[in-house]
Amino acid sequence: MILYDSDLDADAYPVRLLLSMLGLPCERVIIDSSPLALRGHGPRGPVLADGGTRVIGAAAVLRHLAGRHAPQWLPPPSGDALLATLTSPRFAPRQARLLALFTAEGPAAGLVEEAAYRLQDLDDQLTLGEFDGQLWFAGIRPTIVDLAAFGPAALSNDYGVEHDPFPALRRWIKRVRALPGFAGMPGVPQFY
Amino acid sequence: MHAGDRQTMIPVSLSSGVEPGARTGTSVDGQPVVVWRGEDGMVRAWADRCPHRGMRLSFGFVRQNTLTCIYHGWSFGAPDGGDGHCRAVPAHPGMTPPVKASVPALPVTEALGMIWVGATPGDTALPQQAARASEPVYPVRSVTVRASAPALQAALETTLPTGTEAVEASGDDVITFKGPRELVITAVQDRGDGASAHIVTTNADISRRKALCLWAALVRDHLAAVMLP
Repeated sequence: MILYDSDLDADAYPVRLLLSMLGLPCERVIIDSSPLALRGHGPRGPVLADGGTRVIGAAAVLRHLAGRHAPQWLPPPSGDALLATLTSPRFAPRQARLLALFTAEGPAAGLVEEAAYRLQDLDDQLTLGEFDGQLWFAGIRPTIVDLAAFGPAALSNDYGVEHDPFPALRRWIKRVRALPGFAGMPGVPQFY
Repeated sequence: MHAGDRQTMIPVSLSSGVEPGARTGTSVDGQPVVVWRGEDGMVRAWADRCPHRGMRLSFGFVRQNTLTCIYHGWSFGAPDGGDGHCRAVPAHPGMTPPVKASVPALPVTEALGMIWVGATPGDTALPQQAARASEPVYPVRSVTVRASAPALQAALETTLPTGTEAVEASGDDVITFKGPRELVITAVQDRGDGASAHIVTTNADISRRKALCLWAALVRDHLAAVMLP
């Protein structure tokens, strides 16, 4: 298998997390995969070459890897909508981070506010779930939905949104970090 | 609240919001504060600034009963609840850290299922309702909104949770809603750029606490909608 991505690429981060957690050997080819560098001409998201198959986009790659190697990481159907939201190019936390990291002017205040509301939505969902023992985004077990949510949540300091107002999100971040095989990335320190 | 006066302590989180080994940044009377809990279960509130290079300690990590700065790994501890003294500097393992390398501690206590912090070393009194509480309470949640503390307080007071009939505001940021089967208690924190409400109830029932979660989010979202430009 070959994964085409780069260390700063948060779209590929859930894929790197899953590979690490499953202990799957995978060659990495570092490309400038920032969507701003590609200006819309490149592939939409990380690309995985697996034998003769080429899988494009975080959600598709996550599904491919989990489906082939670890079906317990696939979410129940109730998690599909959230996975699609989290991996959408229009997801505000993703856009805000990209603009903060790769443009001089940074994200507009409105976009940062919108991103904070998306984190608030995630915190709301976890807050209610905890009462029923649902400690993960799609039920009682960690799935690829949690991995897709982790980057946008953990990297929010990149665009100036802190975790202080989101206690349930903080508790969940600690849970994800405690999963065997967890790996950091720039902006997600190994120590926590 | 004038200079020289003593203020009551300020609610910064539900107790369940900072579990053993966790830390978070918060704001107490305009000052950045790191609140953290050691593995010993004791909660600490310190100035959120590493004495070495000024990095925010709330970006750091807890190991046993010390808080370590993420920048250069200086770790600080205070078994007595006092100021955080530097215990170790990784770059100089043989050195005894200087006494001056310490982090000022603020008064901190837990009551009503919440963590309370004093803005200055003399601010050690709890609001009356928190001080005299005797019934066990159960966490509901905290909500945060970009609005002033008085606006959040007013929004809560005028939107009673279903199943409560009377509201008692004590004038010191604590509101108690009374129902036939429970007390719902909220404490409002001024965060400078917004406000938080920390909410507990004397009713342990899970579906009731979930309903109160939704009520709190509704109050928050209505207020946020009003605050839009």
